[in-house]
Amino acid sequence: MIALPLFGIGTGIWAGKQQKKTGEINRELGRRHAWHWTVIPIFLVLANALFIGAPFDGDKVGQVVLLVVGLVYYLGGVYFWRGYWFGGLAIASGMFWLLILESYPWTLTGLLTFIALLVPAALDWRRHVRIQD
Amino acid sequence: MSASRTDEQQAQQGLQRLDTLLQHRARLGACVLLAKTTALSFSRLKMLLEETDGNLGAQLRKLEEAGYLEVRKEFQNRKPVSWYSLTPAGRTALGTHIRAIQDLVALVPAEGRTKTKA
Repeated sequence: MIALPLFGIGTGIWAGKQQKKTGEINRELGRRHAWHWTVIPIFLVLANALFIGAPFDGDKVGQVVLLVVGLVYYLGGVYFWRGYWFGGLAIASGMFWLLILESYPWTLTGLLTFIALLVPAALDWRRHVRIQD
Repeated sequence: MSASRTDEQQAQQGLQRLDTLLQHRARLGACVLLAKTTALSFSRLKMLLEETDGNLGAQLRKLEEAGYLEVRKEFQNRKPVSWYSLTPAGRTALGTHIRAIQDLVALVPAEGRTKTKA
């Protein structure tokens, strides 16, 4: 639990190194990224604290995790990069797959998330290559 | 006072507020790019502005001498990198210059502002 917020701090440090590599330092954007990704684990911990004392129900905990992470990625899409938008929706859709599917809801969620993050990244990369040409 | 007389005065005031240092393409471009970020490396500025090393270096030096930019030099993988950032004075000068341009543009009739085909 204590280590989880380090994820966000680590993201900030990594982003700083990437910015130096590209030759463009934007402290304000870096700070916003670090805050954004630090808040996910904090919210996950708080959301799952709701289940303390109750009998463990993997599907319910999973639904909360998917909803929180989906929302964070969706907001990442609104504030940082449009590609996260689709990823966020794909992650949050897992909540419904857990409700309606008997088998492989997690596999389907993972697959949809993979596609939702990969396709915008590939399109973005192709656009960058075209601009550089 | 007639409308055209007022326009003339506004145009004169607008032109007086233009910063001569920021009328050069590379210098204005560098300040605009630096206004929306913390710092840019020389090579990044060169790429974005499509300028040669010599020309960009000379233009950035003029901005630095005027106190509009500050430069920080460091080594990255044993290679020297110059990081440029806008000073508060540079930010103020850019703001004044942009507002003067906006005021001048506002004096141009709407038909003169329509987009032209490339």
